[in-house]
Amino acid sequence: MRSPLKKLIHSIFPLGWPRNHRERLQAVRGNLWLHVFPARVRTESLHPKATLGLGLITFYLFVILCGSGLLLMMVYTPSTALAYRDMNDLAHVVSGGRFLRNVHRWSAHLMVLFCILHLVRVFCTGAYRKPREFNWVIGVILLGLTLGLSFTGYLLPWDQLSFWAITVSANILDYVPLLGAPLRRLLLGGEEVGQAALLRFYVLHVFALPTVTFLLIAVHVWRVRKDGGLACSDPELHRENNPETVSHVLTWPHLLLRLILVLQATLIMVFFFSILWDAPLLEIANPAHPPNPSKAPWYFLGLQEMVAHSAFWGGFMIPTLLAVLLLILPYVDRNPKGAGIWFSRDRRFALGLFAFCLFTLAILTVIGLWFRGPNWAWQWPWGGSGG
Amino acid sequence: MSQKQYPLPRDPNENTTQRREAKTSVSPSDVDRRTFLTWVAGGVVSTGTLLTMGTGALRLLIPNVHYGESPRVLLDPPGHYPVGVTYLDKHRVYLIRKGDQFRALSGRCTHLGCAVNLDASGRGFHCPCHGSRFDEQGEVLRGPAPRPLPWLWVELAVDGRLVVDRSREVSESEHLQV
Repeated sequence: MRSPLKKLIHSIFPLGWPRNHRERLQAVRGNLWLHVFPARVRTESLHPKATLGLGLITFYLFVILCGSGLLLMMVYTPSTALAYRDMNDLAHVVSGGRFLRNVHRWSAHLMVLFCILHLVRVFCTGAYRKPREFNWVIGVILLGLTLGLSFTGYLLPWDQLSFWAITVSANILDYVPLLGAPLRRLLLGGEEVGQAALLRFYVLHVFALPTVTFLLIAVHVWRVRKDGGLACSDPELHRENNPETVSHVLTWPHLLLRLILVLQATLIMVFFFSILWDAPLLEIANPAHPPNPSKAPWYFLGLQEMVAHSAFWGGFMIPTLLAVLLLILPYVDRNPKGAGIWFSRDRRFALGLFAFCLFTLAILTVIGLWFRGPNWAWQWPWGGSGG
Repeated sequence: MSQKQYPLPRDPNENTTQRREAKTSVSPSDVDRRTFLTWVAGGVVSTGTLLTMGTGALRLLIPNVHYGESPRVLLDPPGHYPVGVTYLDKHRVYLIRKGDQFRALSGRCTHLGCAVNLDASGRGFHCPCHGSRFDEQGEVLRGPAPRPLPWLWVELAVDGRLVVDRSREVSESEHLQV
C-alpha cells in the first residue's frame, strides 16, 4: 500500500524520476515544458563555442525582468504626481526596494547587450541560412521589441533623465514624413510628455510589449527545433543527421544541466552588478530645464550622436535603412557556404561589411558616452575641451 | 531510432514544395459557385469587421481634449518684468523687454524640443541636448537646429496683464508697445 503522499506525487509526475535511457527520452517528450527540446541533441550543439549561451541568457534576463517587474508594479503608481515619490520610496522606504530596482535596471541593460551579442553570434556563424531565414527575422523583431521595452521603461521613474530622453526621442518622429507627427501624438496622447504619455508608456511597458515579446520568444525557440536544431558546421553530416554518423547525447541530463548552469551564471551576473552599482535617479522631471548634457541610455547614444548632426538622416533615414537591411539580410545573402562556422572564410565580404557597421556604431556610442560634455560639445574624457 | 525524430532541414534540391503545391492549388474550374460566394462573403465580412474594430480602437487613442497647458499664457502686468531677458520657465518662453517694448521668443529648440538656455553672456541661447546655438534674434549660429527660434505674439489682456500666444508666430520686428 502506497502512502497518500506518494500517490499525490505520482498523480503529478506519472513518469517518475527517469532511471534509464528509455525513461530519460520519455521524460523530455512527456513534459509540456521540456518538449520544446528534442529528446537527444547533437553533442556539437552543446559545446559552449556553438552559441556561447547568448540567446539563453537573453531569455533568462527576460524572465528575471518579468519577475522583478511584477514586484515593481506593486509599489509603483503611473502618475506624474506619484511616480517620482514611489521611486524615492523604493530607494529609501521599501525593504529591498533599491536592490529590486537595481535588478530590473541591470537586467534591462544586459538584455539589450545580450540581444545584440546574440545577433552578432548568429551572424558570425552564418546561422540565418536556409531554412532558418524567418527565425532571423523574428530575432530582429525581438531586438526591436527589447529596445521598445527599454524605451517605454525609461519614462516611468519620471526623473529628469526620463522626461528629456522621451521628449527628444518623441520629437524625432516629427522628422518622419507624413505619418511622423500624428504618430507622436498617438504615442504621447498629447502634444507634450505628460500624464497621458506616462500612462500609455506604462501600459505598453507592463503589458502590451511583454506579451508580444513572450509570444515571439515562444515562436523563436520553437522554430529552432523545427528548423533542424542549431546550424551545423558540417552540412554533409547534417543532411544525414542520424545517430550513426553524428554524435548525439540525451537532453536529460546533458542539456538540462547546462540550462541550469547558465541560469545560475545569469543570476549571479545580475546580482553582482545590482549589489555593486545603484540605478541612477536624477531630480524630478522639470519641463523648464533639461539636464546639461542630456544623454540617452548607451544603446541609443549612437543614435543621439547621429541626431546631433541631422535629425532626419540620423534619427530616421539611417536607423530605418539599418532595420530594413537586418530584416531582409537572410533573403539577400544567398551565399550557401559557411553556415554553422565561426568567421567562415567563404563569407569575407558579408563579415567585413557587418564588422564595419558594428564598428561605426560602436565608435559613435563611445563618442556619445565619453567625448560629449555640456551642450553636446566635444570634450576629452581626461578633461579639457577641444574644437 | 527512426529518422523521424530528427527533423531534416529542407533540402533545396528536393522539390517537395512543388509537389505540395500541385496537390493543393486549385484551378478556377475546380471552385463551384457556392464555394466561391461563401469565401467572398466570408472575406468581406471578416475584413470589414477587423477594419471597423481597428479604426475604432485607433480613433479612441487619439485624444479629443488636451489637458495640458493652453498655448496662450497669462503673465503678470508689464511693469513686473525688468528691462532685459526674463525666462518664464513654466512656459518655456523668453520675455524680452527693451524700454517699453515687449517681445517673446520661444525657448523650445527647433531641433528636438529641448528647452534652450540663455548664454552666460546673455547674448544668445544654446541647447544642451545636441549643441545648437542661437543668437539673440533667435537665428541659428550653428548646430543641427533647422529653423530659428520663433518670435511669439504678445498682447495685453483686458485687466492689463501680458499675454503670450505660443501658437502664433510673428516676425522678429513685431513688438508690443506699452
